[in-house]
Amino acid sequence: MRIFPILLLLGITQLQAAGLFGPDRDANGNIVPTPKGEFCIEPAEVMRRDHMNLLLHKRDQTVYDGIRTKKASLNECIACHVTPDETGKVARADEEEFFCSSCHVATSVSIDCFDCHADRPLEMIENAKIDEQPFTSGKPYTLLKSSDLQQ
Amino acid sequence: MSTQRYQALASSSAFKTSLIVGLLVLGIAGFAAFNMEHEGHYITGMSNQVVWGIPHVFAIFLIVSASGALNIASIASVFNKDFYKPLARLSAVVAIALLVGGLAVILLDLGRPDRLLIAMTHYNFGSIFAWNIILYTGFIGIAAIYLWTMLDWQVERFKRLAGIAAFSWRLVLTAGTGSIFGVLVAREAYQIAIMGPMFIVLSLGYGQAFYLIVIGLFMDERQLSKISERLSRLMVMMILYGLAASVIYHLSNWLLFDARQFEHYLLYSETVFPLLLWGVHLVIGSILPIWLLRSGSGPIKLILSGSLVIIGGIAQFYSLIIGGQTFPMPLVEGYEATSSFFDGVIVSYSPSSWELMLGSGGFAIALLLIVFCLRLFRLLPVDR
Amino acid sequence: MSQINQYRRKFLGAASAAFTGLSIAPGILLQTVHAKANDEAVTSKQRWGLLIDTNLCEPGCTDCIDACNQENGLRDIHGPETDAQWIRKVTLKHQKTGHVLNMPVMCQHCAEPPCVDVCPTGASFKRADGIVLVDKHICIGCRYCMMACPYKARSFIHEKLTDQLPHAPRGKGTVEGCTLCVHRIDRGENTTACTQACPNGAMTFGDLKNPESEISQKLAQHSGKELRAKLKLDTGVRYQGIQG
Repeated sequence: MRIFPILLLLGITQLQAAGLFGPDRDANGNIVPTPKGEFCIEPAEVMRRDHMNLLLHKRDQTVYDGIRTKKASLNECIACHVTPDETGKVARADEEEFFCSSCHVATSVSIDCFDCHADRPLEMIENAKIDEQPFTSGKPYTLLKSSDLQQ
Repeated sequence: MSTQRYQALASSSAFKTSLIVGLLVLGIAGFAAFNMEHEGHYITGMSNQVVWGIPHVFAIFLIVSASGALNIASIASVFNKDFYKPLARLSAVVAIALLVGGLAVILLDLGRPDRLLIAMTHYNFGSIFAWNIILYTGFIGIAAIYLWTMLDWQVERFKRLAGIAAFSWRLVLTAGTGSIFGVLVAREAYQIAIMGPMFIVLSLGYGQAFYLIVIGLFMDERQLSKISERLSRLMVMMILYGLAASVIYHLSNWLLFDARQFEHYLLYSETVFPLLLWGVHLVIGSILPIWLLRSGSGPIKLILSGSLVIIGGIAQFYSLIIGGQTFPMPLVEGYEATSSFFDGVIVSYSPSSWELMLGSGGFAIALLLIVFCLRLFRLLPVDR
Repeated sequence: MSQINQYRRKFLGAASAAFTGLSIAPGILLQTVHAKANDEAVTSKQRWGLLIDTNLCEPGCTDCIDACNQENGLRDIHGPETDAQWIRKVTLKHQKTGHVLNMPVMCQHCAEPPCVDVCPTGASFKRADGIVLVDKHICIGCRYCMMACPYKARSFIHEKLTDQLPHAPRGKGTVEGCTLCVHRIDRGENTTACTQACPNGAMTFGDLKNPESEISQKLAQHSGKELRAKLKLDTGVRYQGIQG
């Protein structure tokens, strides 16, 4: 009766999809946030295997040649794959619920993309501007005004 | 021809003490490095104005000293002086150890030390810094081969060749290190024609100072008494050469180049630099050790004078590296500038304890490497 | 791919309308600007630059700086010693005549940039269209470019950053500086945040290689000086109104 655990798993996945067990998880138990769009730039199999190569290629095209098309642009990935959950919360890069982190934590592949790159689309950042968490230094979030600096 | 015999260092108290002190300082440095990388450089005294702080002062001093430490071996093999031949092995070890110590500090002070692999795989061959990375790693390799030819009788016939290669390489290396500053046309403190040659001359004294400390600590007194007088005389000469190079540097800034104000800043202003140059570099780091070395010999005097020369050298490199950055750059000729970004003003810099801890790690690595090699290999000469 | 082509067609259509050089109001002639399409690689046919008229730069005004900080997400963190400043307002006073100059100073986008010469990994680079940038993916944070820059135009990121903007990635341990709003240029916009923000029109952005461009016309008329011209770096940012 090998089929039984799979059926059970499918059942759990169904329950999760209904929002009873927190975020969506795939058969391996990894969190899968719901993307915004209908389809990705390549089939899921290709993306799983090659997303880093696509990103790397696009990265150099953008940095050196100023090519900023949407395909394989990190910002476009974020715009589609970083979505609020049912409570309206958006997972951040250091959380397991974040789109990239869910697999990268499971596979123990650390990435430093989000040390520099935004982990949310622009509109979410601007919405969050007013009651943003303070910086690690404990200083409040303020836009730098040069008049604040000593002359 | 008599065959010189060598022995490894016994597990003496000097060995054990060095090991403990070295590991302790290394641990502290590792903690500091971790903290600096985790928090970011804001916890240091470095800023957008003084981008290279005390860690660079220590690191560049160690790297310059490394090439100078090979000098004893070069006198033996390249210039064929028999007296120095028993001392050559240790000289190569000290050179490698100092260079590794200096490089470790530079690496750990990077903004992204985790990208060491990128530094090794992406080369901009137009950059003197990239060339220096090749020169440093190459030096470690060539000095190691040279050491091998001295340790293994089977390859002894290549000793002179390896010695000449190491000597030539180290001249280029030190000139290259000086040129890191020499190519900075933006800053008046550094002139290409002076920096390379000056670093070569300075390296002689500083490298030998480290060598004196090492033999003072680890060589038995009977052996030491045979060589200390001649080494002391050599050291005095090297200090004088170094002083002459400093005088030429400051004089050329004053006379030939358009950097008189900068010289005024270094030598006669109400900053720390005149104290460092006149007091520490000239009096404590040059005159005092000369007097010590001429007043007799003995391990304590060698260690003490070597340490004083090193302190003086660090003071000199501090004024060169930090002084060059804190002095304002002109933006428009004839105009005095003010801004929110410290234009037109002398910038303040005070090294944080993190930086001092990280910087001393370089010395600890060098010390540990030296005592390990002394214990592993037969480097110290003994009578037949 | 079809989506991209569709997008491109739309864009080129809009661009060709701009090409015709029609005037939108009497006296204002739209220039024949080659606006870059998103999928087009930059070329050396352009060289982007800025012209700053110091006579129009008002003392105490920091609009260009505020706009730059807003545009690129620069914030006050640990104080002016370590915070990034891509553009700063400099006040200069002539030592003899007392003549006062006000000007914003940013990366001068040199044709012969010392930062590019010294960078060990090649992270500091000059794009084909003359913009000097840092490829932060291969920057190791050695800060040698900051030692080499005659204009103190570069900043090192001294702490962990959060809430960077999608078009302006920045992060701890790397060096950065004015990008000449490269994300706007790549979109085909013919301006920068600072230029747009200046209330007096003291700043002109444009293509130095195009003799028809506003910046070239102004330079042809009144010329413009380079900061620290002795160093012969052929800067892309020029200044008007400097005496002597």
